[in-house]
Amino acid sequence: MQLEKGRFSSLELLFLVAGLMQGSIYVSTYTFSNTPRDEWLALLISWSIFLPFALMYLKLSEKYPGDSLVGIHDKVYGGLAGKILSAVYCMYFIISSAMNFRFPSAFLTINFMIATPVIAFAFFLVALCLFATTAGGVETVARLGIFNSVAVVASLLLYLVLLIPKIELPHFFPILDVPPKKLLHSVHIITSEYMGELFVLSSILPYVSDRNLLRKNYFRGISLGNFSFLLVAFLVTGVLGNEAAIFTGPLVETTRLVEVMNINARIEFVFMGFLIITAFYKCLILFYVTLVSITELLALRSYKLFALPLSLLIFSLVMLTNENGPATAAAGRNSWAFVSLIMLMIIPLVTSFVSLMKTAFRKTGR
Amino acid sequence: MNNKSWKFKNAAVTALSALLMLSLCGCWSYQELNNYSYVVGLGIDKGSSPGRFRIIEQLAVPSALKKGGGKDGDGGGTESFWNVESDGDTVFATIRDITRKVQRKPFYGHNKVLVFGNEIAREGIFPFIDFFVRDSEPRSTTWLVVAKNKADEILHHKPHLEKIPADKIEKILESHIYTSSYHNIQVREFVENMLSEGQAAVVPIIEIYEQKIIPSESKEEKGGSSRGGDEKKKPDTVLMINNCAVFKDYRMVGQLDNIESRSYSFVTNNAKGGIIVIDSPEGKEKLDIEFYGVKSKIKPIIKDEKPSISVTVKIRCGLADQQSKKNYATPEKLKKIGEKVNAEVKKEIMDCISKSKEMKADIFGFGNEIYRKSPKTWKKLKNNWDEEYKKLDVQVKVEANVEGTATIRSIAKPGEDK
Repeated sequence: MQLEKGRFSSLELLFLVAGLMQGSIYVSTYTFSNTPRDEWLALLISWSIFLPFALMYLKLSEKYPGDSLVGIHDKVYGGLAGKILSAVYCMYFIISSAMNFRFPSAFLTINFMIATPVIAFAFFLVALCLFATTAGGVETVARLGIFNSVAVVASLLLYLVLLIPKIELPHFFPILDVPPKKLLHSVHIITSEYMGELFVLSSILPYVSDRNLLRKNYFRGISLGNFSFLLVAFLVTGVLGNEAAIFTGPLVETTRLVEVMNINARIEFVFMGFLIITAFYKCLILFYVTLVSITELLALRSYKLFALPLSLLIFSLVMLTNENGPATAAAGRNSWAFVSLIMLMIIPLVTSFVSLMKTAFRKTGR
Repeated sequence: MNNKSWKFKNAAVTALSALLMLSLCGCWSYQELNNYSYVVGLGIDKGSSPGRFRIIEQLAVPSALKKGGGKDGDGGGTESFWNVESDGDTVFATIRDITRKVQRKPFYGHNKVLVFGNEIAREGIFPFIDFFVRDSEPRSTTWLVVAKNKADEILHHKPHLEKIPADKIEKILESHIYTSSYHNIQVREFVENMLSEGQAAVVPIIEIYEQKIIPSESKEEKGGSSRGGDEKKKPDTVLMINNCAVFKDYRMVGQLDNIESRSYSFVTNNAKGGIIVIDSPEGKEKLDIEFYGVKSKIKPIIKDEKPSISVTVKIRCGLADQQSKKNYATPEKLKKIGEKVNAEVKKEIMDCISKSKEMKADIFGFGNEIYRKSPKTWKKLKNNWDEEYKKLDVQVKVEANVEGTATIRSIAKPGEDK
């Protein structure tokens, strides 16, 4: 079932994919505490682990063209089991959205606007997502990607230039002198959270107009997203070195070190703006996917009907979610990484396997 | 308007709204500039009672700065800075306590310098540094200095040429590129050094230097600690960086003199420029050799699990001044001068290394280099690094290239050696 008439190009998908990954840049603190020096290595390992999974997501979507995640579950697992599984995914999306809405809001209040309550930012973020989805739909969500990606990559490159005098290559050495457990933990977080989240796009992939270029641009998007992460890793490790492990926001701390002839102090505000935009973009994608998934599960005709209740639900959850930063970070680093691993990698793997088996049985006539 | 451009417009509006969201929320925590006071320098000394310490905040007085305050006779009349102090047990509480005396909330984002009193530095600055790294307001690019005596007297010393002591300290620190005889260090670099296993840090020491000049006789050197009346007969004083403190595990464990500090800068690639005084090849007079480009390389060598360090320092320099009447502008003589420079600098670096070994303080980060080269070897050494460092074999090689003799080829005296 398709709830949208709108379509977007595979080029816009490229930026959508990259944007969803870039939205996790500001939470990269989870992994820097484990691998302050070898973050780049953890990223490359994660990338190589994730690529087959990305291919699997695409294969599933190609096998069931026009079907969103809920539709795929219905077809693979049948009516009841599919619906139950989709309901579980909807709950996962709602909680994930709430957590992601909370991150940028908490980030702003911790670092800049200490007196402002978290819910003030969360309110604006949710309201903006409500506007973007109801007034625009999937096309608006997709088209925002290019604004987001250009802003993020441009600002990262700008900071790279400004921070060149502070980058010390010895900070990257020795390579691989990290306890395997910590490296594994980082790889786990990056693969399941930063990259695995691309699975949520399964509900958006049916709306790509030029499907012949879908696969190519999907992987280009992943490369752009990973390139952004590698830039962050290079900046943070190069500037902070081992110190990166002690900061709650190593990237913020890195940008705070920019000095331009003693004039442009506090230039990190520019970067913070882009960081918030990219976090918002991720929230928007998650909000939209949650909305269409619930709508489809409830067999409603238009997702716009459920937009306001969902906004209120997410807003309420933002207020209830982890009351302090360390709790949020601990959840993201530990429990949520496992939940994501199950929801975004293991279950899709099982779904692909069941789908393959079903096809095989159908061919053999059993 | 077709459907596609309408959707594109929606995307643009959403992006713009997201940007605007940042500024609109700002109204919630808005702060007016004139409700803040601006901390430009901060000192920490021992407090009046045991276990307590004293924080001295140097606040800029913008109105006096505008009028030219802080200078006798050039208008204003009001000082351009105001020092406020408070005693306490913890940094943040003490800093907040100052708001009972200052009507405007102090803002730490523009703090230039953090001065630790000598006693505090010797006892350990760990309890005081956390706030300056943790809090979002102070910047970790703040300069760190140790007062020869008390931070209080440094921040109260009225400077020459500048209006605010903290400004003066910052400018002296930035002037290290002309002598390289001290190493300026920011809070961030200091913490990074302390976080590296076995590594020590070097922090400049600031003191009040008493000049023989009587202020009333010198129009240029007005101010200082001496002001009008009988006080004019007192010697003038200036703030000066002299020697460097060595910190190990956040505690000051010793000092390097200016030559040793320069050697430290040579080895750690921080020497930007300065003058090396050597004996002339004939050994009778002195020559000033100006260096303007130094590149050093620390190379750890692991042989049979036994580490040693090879330090290579390459110096670009030139003859800048001479007492001798000889003409040194020949390739052979410049080569000889180069050899003299090599020997002199090598001796100075070796002396500095010996001094750091005496203090058991690895200021050069040799341990870190060994770790980077062979983590396995380092793991065996790190628990006993203090003793291992004392035994560490360090080879120093200096390669000075005397590139010229500035604007003259030979001494400007007729009939002498050409």
